[in-house]
Formats: sequence, structure tokens, C-alpha cells
Amino acid sequence: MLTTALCPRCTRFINHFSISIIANRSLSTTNDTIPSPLNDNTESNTDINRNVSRLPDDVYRHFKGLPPLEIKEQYHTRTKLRTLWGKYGRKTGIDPKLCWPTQTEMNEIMDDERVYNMELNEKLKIVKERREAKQKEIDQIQVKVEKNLKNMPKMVEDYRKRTIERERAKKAEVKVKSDLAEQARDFYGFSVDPDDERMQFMLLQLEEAQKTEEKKARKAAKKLEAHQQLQKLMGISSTAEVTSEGDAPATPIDPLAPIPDAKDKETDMKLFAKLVSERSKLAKAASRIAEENATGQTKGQKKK
Amino acid sequence: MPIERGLQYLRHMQRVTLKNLPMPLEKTDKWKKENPDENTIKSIMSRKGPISRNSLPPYGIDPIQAEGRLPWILTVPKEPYYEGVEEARQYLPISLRTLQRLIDLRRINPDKPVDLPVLCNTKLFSIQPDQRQFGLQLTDEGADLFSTPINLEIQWVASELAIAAIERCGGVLTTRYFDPISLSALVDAKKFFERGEPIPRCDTPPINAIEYYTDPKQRGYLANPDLIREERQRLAQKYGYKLPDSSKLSPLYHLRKDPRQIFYGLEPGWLINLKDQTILKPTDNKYQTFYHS
Repeated sequence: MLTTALCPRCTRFINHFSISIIANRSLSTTNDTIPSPLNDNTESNTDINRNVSRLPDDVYRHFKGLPPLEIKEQYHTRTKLRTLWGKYGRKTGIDPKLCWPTQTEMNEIMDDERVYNMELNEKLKIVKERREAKQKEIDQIQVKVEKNLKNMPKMVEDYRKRTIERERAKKAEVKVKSDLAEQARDFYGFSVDPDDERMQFMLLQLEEAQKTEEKKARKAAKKLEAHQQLQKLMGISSTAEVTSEGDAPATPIDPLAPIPDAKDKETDMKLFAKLVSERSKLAKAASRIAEENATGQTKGQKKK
Repeated sequence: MPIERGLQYLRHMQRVTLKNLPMPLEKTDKWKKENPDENTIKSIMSRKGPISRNSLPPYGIDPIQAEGRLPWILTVPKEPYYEGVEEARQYLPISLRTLQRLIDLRRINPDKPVDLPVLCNTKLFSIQPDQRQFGLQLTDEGADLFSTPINLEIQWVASELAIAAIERCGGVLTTRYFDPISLSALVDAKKFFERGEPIPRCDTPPINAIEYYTDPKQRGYLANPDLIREERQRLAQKYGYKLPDSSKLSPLYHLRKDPRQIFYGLEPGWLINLKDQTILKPTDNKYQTFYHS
């Protein structure tokens, strides 16, 4: 009689016991251990070839996830042995000591880390220092700015005055030069270059004419003073008559002389003189520097 | 003056004729070189090139030395806005919207701490440490939709909105720095364990990044936890939500990693075998002090 029985090795209910079932039945009721008929009758498990697929051995083992039987010579490096151990585990028979670095390598690693990688404390220090240095610069600039802000209105006014004066000086220069050019034109009859010798000739003549005029004016002024002192000593004439009498003979009017706009001309000439002096100062400084360079070169040459 | 030369000849010479005069009456080459005509210029100069096409190097460059071409330094344009590109760190973006979507589709378990390897196992992000990529960064998109408490660990956050969106639901956020060597172990954990190497220890961040990772506003992993608590309350006041109690959360939300640790629960220096399901630890003092420092 066939009955289903639980095989202790499989999960299926299979009737594959070839022995007499009666013996099994009796055994199943008792608590005796079940014999292992398969092991006695059949061959040892190791001799059975369960590989029914017609694949070669390497491929079958790779397919099943088993380690290879023989490790090739190419695989005798540490990294490849590590990978074999990592994939297949203890069955490969590889010692896991290979996976860690050796003692000498460990010493090298520790030295490298000490040299190339800074610790956290040092890095934090560096970050702090950089931040503080930046703040210092900003603070220094702020102090300067606050100082200068107090002087701001004054500096603005000075700048404006300087610009106005500069413009005036430029205009005065243009005026003076054009006036001189016109005078030369009137004098000679044709337009003359300012660099020419004729201008200098004309200027000399004008200077001489001015000097003679001044002499005359001085003499007339001296005469006036003597006249006034005499009258004071006499004690007759009043101050009003003196002033009225003093005006007419004091200024000899020449109809041909140019009519002076007294104030403007004085200031124009003064500004023009200022400009010329500034330019001469610059020229003097430049000449001084050139002389120093020349002396330096000559000294070097002398030494050689 | 040629007039004076002529008068000298008259004084000193016996006879003055047209043929006697040493002065040339025809225009010689010297005369021509001083005042060349347009036709002579055209015959001498080349008909091609920048000179004939009335285009020469720009103002400030000697055209004779330049030989009609731009100098080599000026042929390559200047782009100063690309100055630090070769050394800059890259972070791949992940938005709150994708996170919520992954949680809804049950690809990520919010009951456990969400980490870089967890996000990389979804195979949605391909991080390459060779290309100066240092992890993931959180973006703003989907801040209104996000509604799950989560223990997130991410490498960079640029906006406060993202942090507020996570903390409003009762979650926790930390920013952490990983080395390229440790990144290669995290990105593909299974491959790393099959390599058979011990777990590496993570280095401290570079000087560029220390300010970021010690900042409580960005929830850095090196920052003071007391300051982080203040910042959480400040954000709650700013964005107008109430902070849920932290004591009610499960203990998993308080899990944090050591600055040298990469995986949750595993220490550096340990060897792991997935096939045998074993962990091997070194016993030598030197190795232990190095890996645990």
C-alpha cells in the first residue's frame, strides 16, 4: 500500500521510500530515529555529478555563485585575492589578513596623514585668523573714513575755490596773450608770432616806455608832496582844495595809451604770473631729477 | 638751403652748365622714398592681408611687430567669471518633491534614517567622485507638498525654505561632508563590500568648507547642538509654524554619526563579508587607535 510520508530532507510529501512501508509505518509511531536509507544504499554525495546542464565547469560555478576551484597565477595579487574573499567568503580558503594594510604600510599611512591632513583644531584656527584679519582691515579703513568725513565740507569748499581760480587764470592767460598779440599787430601792421624776435623787441620798447612813465609819475608825486608841505607850513589852504587840485595834475592823460581797466588787469597779470611760476616750479623740479639721474650715471661710469 | 648751395657753386666753379651741376635734377630713389605716391605704395605692399583691407591691430599695439596679426595673447578671449571652476565642488540636486514621491511609492522607508547609500540604492542618482562630485544637495521645489517626518542627512543645503519645510513636519536635518574615497564606498555599498577592503575613515572637510559645516544655520555636523536648537526656534518664528515636541519622536531620529563614521552602526576599520555574514575587527593597538581617532 502506498501512503504519503513526510521526508525529513525535503519539504514535499513524496513517496520515494523503496523499502517496505510497513517498517516505516511502525517506526513513525514510535520515537525512534528514522534511519537514513538513502545514505546506505546510494553512493556518496560527493561522487554524484548533479551538473546536468551541458555547461563547462567554470561557467557553472560562476552561475551558481561558487568560488573557482583553481586560482590562476594572474590572480595572485592582493587586490584580486581580496575581491575573491569579498565575493565568496570563507570557502575560498583565503586568509582575511590580506585585506588590511601591513605594518610598514600602516606606518606610512600614519605619517602621510600627519603631514598632508591637518587636524580640525588647526583648520579652525586658520579660519578664525583669516576672519579676524579681514575685520581688521575693514576697521582700519573705517577709522580713516570717519576722520575724513569731519573735514569733508572744508575740503569741498577748497576744491571749488581752486577750480574757480584755475579757470580764471586760464582766461587771464588767454586775455593777456591776445592783448599782446593785438598790440604787436597795431605796432607792426601785420600779425606776428609770439615766439618771434619782433615780439621781444616790442616788449622791450614797452618796458622802456613804462619806465619813463613811472619816472615822470614819481617826479610829479614828489612835486605834489613838496607843494603840500609848503602849504601846511603856511597853514592857509583847506584839505578839500588840496585833494581837488591834487587829482588833475597828478595823472597825465595820454590819449594814445591803452585805457587800463585797473583792477582786472592787475588781477589778470597776477594770475598769469602765478601760472608761469607754477610751470617754472615744475620745470625746475624736472630739471633737478634729470640732473640727479645724470650724476648717478656719471658716477657709475667713473667707477668703471 | 638749395639757394645757398647754388650761390656757392657760382663762386667756386669756372663754368656752370646743366651738365656740370652735381645736383640731380631728376627725382632719385632717395627722393621717392621720402615722399612715396599711392601707386608706388600699392606696387610695393601686398594686396592681401589686414593692411590692404584697412584693418590693423587695435590701438596700443605696434603694427610692425605684430606683422598685421593680433598677438597670440589677444587671440584667446578672457573669461574671468570661470576662474574657480576647475576646483569647485559639485553637488547633484534632489528636491523635496522627489523625496515625497519616493516615500509615497515606498522606495524609501521614512521610519529609518535616510542617508546617502539609501538614496543611491534607488539608482536614480549617479554620483561620480572622479568628477569632483561630493554628494547631494536639497532644493526648494515642493516645499508645500512635503509632509512626512524624516531623519535626513545631506551634503549641502542652499535655502532656508527647505530646512523649514522638513522641520515643520517634525523631521531632522543635518549636513555632512564625505571624502571622495569614502564617497566611492557609499555610492555603491554592495560593490564596496565585494572589494574586500576595510571601511575607511572620513577626513575633515577642507578649509573652504569648514565655515559651512560649523554653521548652526546650515545644521552642520560640526556645529554646537545648543545653537542648532536656537536656530530651529528662530526658523519656526520666521516662517510661522509650531515646532513639534522632540521628545515624542522615536530614538531613531536622534541618531547621528561620528565625524569619522560613514555607515550607521559600523565603525571604520572593520571588515565585512556579505556571503558569510561576518564582521572582522582588528585587534592590534596601532590599527585601533588610527581608525578610531
